[in-house]
Amino acid sequence: MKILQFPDSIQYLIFETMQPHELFLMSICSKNSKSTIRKSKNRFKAIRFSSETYFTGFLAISCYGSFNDEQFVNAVEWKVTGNSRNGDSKLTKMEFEDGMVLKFRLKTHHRPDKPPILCIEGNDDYSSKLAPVQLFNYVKDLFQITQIRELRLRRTDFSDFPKDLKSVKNAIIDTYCQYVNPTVFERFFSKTKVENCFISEQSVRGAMIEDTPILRIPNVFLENATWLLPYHLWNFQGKHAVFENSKFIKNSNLHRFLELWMTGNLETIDSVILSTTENTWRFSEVLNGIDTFRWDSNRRAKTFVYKAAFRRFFQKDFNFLDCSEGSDIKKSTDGTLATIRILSETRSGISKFYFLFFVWHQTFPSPENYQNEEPNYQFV
Amino acid sequence: MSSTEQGTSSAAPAEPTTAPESAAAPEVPESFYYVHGKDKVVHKVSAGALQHSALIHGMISNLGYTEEQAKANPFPFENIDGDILQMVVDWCNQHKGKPTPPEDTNLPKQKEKLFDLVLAVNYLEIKELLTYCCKQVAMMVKGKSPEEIREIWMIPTDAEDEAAEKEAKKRAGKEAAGETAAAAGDAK
Repeated sequence: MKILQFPDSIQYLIFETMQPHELFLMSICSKNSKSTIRKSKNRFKAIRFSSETYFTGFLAISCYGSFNDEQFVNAVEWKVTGNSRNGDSKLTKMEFEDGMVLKFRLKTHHRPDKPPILCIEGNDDYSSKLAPVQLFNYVKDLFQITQIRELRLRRTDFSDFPKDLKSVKNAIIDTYCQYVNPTVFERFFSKTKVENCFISEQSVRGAMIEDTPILRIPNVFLENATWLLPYHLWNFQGKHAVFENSKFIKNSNLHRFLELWMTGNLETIDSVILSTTENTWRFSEVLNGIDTFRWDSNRRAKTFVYKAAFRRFFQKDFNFLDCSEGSDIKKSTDGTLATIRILSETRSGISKFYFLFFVWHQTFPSPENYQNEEPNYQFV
Repeated sequence: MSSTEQGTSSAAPAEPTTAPESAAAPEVPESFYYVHGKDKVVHKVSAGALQHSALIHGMISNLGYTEEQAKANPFPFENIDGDILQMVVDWCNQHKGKPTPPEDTNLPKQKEKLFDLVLAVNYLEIKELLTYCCKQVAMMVKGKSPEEIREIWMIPTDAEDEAAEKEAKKRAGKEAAGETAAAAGDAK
């Protein structure tokens, strides 16, 4: 009796004890083995795609819907090795449904707890760009995964990305400090909805459209928001934003932002943090004509509980959450308080200004553990 | 531990020899049942050991056999090879009344034997042993390449699957034609 002829219940027990990468490698053996795994009771729920360079990456899957790193296990890890013979096993050919053939050898990972690396042969665009996407589709289909939890990409071009990628929980995009055409960015967001968190070091050269979908993502952390214009700030519909290194936001624009909030607009916001090295932000101008209050320990807590999903990515030397020195303002519609802080730091002779805006939806928030589906680790 | 003897399906089994029971034998005499596989070798197994098998446990729970009746009516498992049944009986005896350990290292290393054991254990519904066996099967392909997995688990290639499918269709066609011809002959 061959294993593929075992009753389903036995196959399930065997597959249950196998690691995802072992199932992946088994699936390559034949169409029949792939379909057996595909039809087996599936225990995997979420997938994370991470491609840190054009030549390396991994696909990790999890049995759970949560975001803890420990719960994600690598199903495939690859490295494009060009034409150099790399790897310990014989050459394996993997044919995708569209007829494309991927050639690879397996190489033992230097870490014994990690699956072997697929050393993909070939120097062409297919090996470096399309193959990872096809592997992503293959794994997603093999394990019948519907939740795409995370995309981590370092690239300036998303044109090869799966067309059916309708939504993803978190997206982390880096571009090796290269500038990107805004249309490339816009095209990605018009196709793919980022449901929870978007983190980018991306520098966009050119103007983004006024109602760019980025402004509707609940948690946005842009390390180079050089493109940010006042109307982008006034249109933010998410909960938490960090727009670092803005260029075009002036004191009057921040003043207008506060006015909008006080009159009942921008009601989804929990926190907004901006920084600039191009402008000088001053309390007197930003809060000009606005009624402010000093901190009263009976009215709200001293420290803001920061629940941004990207909070691990936004780390500062100073305690930016201490609001005892900040100025409070009140929303005219429902009396909600918000604290404004303007800070500056000078490094290597360059002054950087921070505008911090925290909304007290709860005046004495509990600092207990909370889970905000945050991405857990950064690019190496 | 169990002892075995050669028997036949038609004849009543001869008196099986029993291995000495453990020193801490229960005060109430334990009841025994008899099973045999494809090779007709009869194994004497205590009811306590058989409790591991949900299938056999279900069969014996309402029988109320006397020792003589049980001996005269061994349970036949014609679909299980004798040596495989022996392994199962040994395992049940070894783990009689004991909590099952998290791992079992005494499983066969030979893949054909292990696969047969998996099927037998699945049939006899011995949950713990089945879990061990499946783990052992999964362990066989740890660190192996697709080609090695194919070889170890006897997974046919796509070409072999297609050839087998063609062959099966051909055979089915021939059988259908044969049946039609036989039916036509009967009609004449």
